[in-house]
Amino acid sequence: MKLRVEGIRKAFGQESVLKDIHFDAQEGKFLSILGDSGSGKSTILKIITGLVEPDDGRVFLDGEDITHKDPAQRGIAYVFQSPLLFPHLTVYENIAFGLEVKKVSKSELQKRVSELLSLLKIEELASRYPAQISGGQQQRVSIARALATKPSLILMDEPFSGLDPTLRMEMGTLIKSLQELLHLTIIFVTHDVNESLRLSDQIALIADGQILQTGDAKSVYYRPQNQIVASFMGGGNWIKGIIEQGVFSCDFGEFQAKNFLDGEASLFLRPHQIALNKNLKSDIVKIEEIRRLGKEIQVDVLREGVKLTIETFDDHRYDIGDEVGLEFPKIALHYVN
Amino acid sequence: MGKRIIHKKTILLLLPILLLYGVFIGGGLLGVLFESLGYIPSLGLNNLTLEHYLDIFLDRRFIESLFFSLYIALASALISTILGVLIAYRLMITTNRLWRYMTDRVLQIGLILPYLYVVFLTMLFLGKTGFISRIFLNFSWISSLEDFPRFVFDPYGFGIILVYVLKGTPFIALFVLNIMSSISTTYHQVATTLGATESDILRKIYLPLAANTISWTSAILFTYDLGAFEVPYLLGTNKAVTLSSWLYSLYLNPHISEIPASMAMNILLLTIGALSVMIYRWVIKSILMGGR
Amino acid sequence: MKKIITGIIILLISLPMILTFLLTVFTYYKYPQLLPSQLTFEYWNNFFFKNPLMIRSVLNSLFLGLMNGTSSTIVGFMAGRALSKQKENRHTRTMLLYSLPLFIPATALFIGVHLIMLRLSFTNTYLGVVLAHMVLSVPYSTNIGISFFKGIPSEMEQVARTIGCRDFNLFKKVILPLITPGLLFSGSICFLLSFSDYFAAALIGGGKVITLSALLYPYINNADYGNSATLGIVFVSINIGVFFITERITKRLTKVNTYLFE
Repeated sequence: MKLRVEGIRKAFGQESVLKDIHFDAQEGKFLSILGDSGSGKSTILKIITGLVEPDDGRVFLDGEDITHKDPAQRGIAYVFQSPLLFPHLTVYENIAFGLEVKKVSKSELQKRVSELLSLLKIEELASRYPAQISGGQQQRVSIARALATKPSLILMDEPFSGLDPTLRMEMGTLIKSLQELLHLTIIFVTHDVNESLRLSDQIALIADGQILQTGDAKSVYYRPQNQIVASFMGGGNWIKGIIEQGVFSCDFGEFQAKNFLDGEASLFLRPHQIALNKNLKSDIVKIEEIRRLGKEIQVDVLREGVKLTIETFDDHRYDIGDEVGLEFPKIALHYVN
Repeated sequence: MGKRIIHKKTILLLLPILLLYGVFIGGGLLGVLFESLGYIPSLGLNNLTLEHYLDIFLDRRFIESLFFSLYIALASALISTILGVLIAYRLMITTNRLWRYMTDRVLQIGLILPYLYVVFLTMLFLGKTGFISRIFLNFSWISSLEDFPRFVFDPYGFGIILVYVLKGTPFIALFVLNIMSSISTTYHQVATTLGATESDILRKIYLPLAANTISWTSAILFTYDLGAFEVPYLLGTNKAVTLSSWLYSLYLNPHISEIPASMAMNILLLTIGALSVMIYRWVIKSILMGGR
Repeated sequence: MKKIITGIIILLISLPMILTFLLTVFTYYKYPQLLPSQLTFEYWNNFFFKNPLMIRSVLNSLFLGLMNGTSSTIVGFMAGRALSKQKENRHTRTMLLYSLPLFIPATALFIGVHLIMLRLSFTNTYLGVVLAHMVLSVPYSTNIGISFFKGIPSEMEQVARTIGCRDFNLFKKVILPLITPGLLFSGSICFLLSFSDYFAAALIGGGKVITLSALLYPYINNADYGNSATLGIVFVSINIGVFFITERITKRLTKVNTYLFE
């Protein structure tokens, strides 16, 4: 395991920013730290690089305790929110900076920089100055610069937040492909849920200075451990009921609950996990509201005081006041006690 | 070059400064120029001639004095600049509030102290009968007055350079601190994550970005050290004389026949000075930019 | 540990001042005694009562400093206003032009100034000395003026104009408050430049306009410790006093950074 963060605490003055942070980053995998602004995610990165000292806790890289090591010696690259290219150096020189500082030989330097220029597809920009290229191009240079010294770990702090949505998608795809190609270990901080789901192998959700849940995209999305995590990843439905001997009973029927403890529980279903069916005659619900979201619609239905939100494709079949039946998934259901 | 719109208001606003410079600087230098060419109507000299320039070039004392002046100016300005930049950089990266505040204050006081007072203090402390010499004698580190090295009134201009450096370093440090603070500290963080040491960051990032201001301020210092006369006059010797001190004493007690020659020396001081300043500034800037 | 170092530094720095002060009240300082002896009030008596020239020179210098501070600031800020609208690439060239006096060796510069003063019969007058000091100070006041005027967002003026503010009112209500810290800063710098100057005042003031520096100079030249120290203390106290008082006032007005030769 590549990076381990244990028990990190950090307060700035009176404000406690990080309360008790634990997580691991696996070698060659893409980990996102997902959270709102102010949740402390940038601070975690800064502690890992060494630009900020934690009040308590440890950071281990490849087994070595680097908690108090000089940031210049850690071999961890950091891509900031804004490209921060050195304005007085050309693109080529910017990328070469880390190598020059290590006194790498000229020929090796040239080789490496050319490699990166073509990987990031910015060959023709080599002799330009930062002021002469666009924001997106600057960010590519910034990434190339970070990769130049073959760091063992790459941290990215919301690197695409200043870019427009299409560019943002492109850059995300580029990073992901680079990561897979070069077997890089990346920790990526963002507040964009979709980006995180799309690119990550692992997601760590952070709120209020604590890691709420870690896991791969699927588990965090479909099996949130509590309400906060669930609502962070988008809306969902909680259906209350009771589990007895592996069976969950509620107003909407009985469902499989094999590996869950007996007692009161809520069934968690994402809006698109439930389907509407006009042909069902039993267990009818009434459509209260329809919201159009482009190609999908969100439908709120009501039955005996319980409201559910369902997402489905818009094929113009439903109207407010219609009575429809619901189809529920049969397997891999998730419950929270 | 585009269209130039010069409003009436702009001209009005610039009038005082243009008048001031035009009359006193422009007029003054023209006057000196003419007198140097031998044209002083009030004394009956009505011919333009270059003979005075020739006389000076052949005068050995002039050449010696010129080189001495350039040496003093160069040494003082360079040392002040190096010290000032290092102090400014160190100050900028220190997070300790107490150190920052104290150094800031000390630098400010250094800036405000008048040159004459600093000259006085130098004489008081470093003279042969100065305070430090007295301490040495009382502690038996020297056996007599003669053994204490000559720091002021010495042929190498040590005292002069010291005063210039004591005054020049705060000047540079405060200006450079100002410009360095405006360079985003995040560049510092970026460079650190790329593996750069403090010295790397200073040399490769801050110095190139601040090169303009540093070389400009250093050039001002160089000119001052070249052209001021009080310090070398008070702390110098009869043998090693700076051009400015020499010119001052000539101007005070003019022999009529010597006036055109002294004016010519003024012009030469001016032109050689201006040239040296330009070269100096260009060299400093190139060094700071890392030969870019 | 920190306290020891701080203590040593403070000691080293105040040592000169302490020694200077001692020299103003003790008259016997033969080598190799460490500290002067024989208490006397002769020097201070001289300063305040016996030698009227001393107090007069202080007043002269204060007056000249005040005059220079005001006029240089006005000229500099006028020029600064006009030049602040310039674009960045022309900036260095203009900077060179208004900073011209700083790149001309002082001796040559002021001998030239003196020649013109002779022509205009400004020598031995207060006006002459002030004008000479202005030549020295205007580069700084212009620079400060430019940076302060640049700091006023141009939209502010435009907005004020659209609500009917005419030129003078605009100046008084909008611009003036914003540049006041700069005016004070420039004023204090120009005051200090004038107050500390020896050469221009001695050359152009002649025997008539005697400044504190002009009086101090011969005492130092003759190694008259007592009188040099006395005048020196007065000199430094006024310098430091003026600087820090201005700083206080400016801080109270606003929290504004002061930029010099950006």
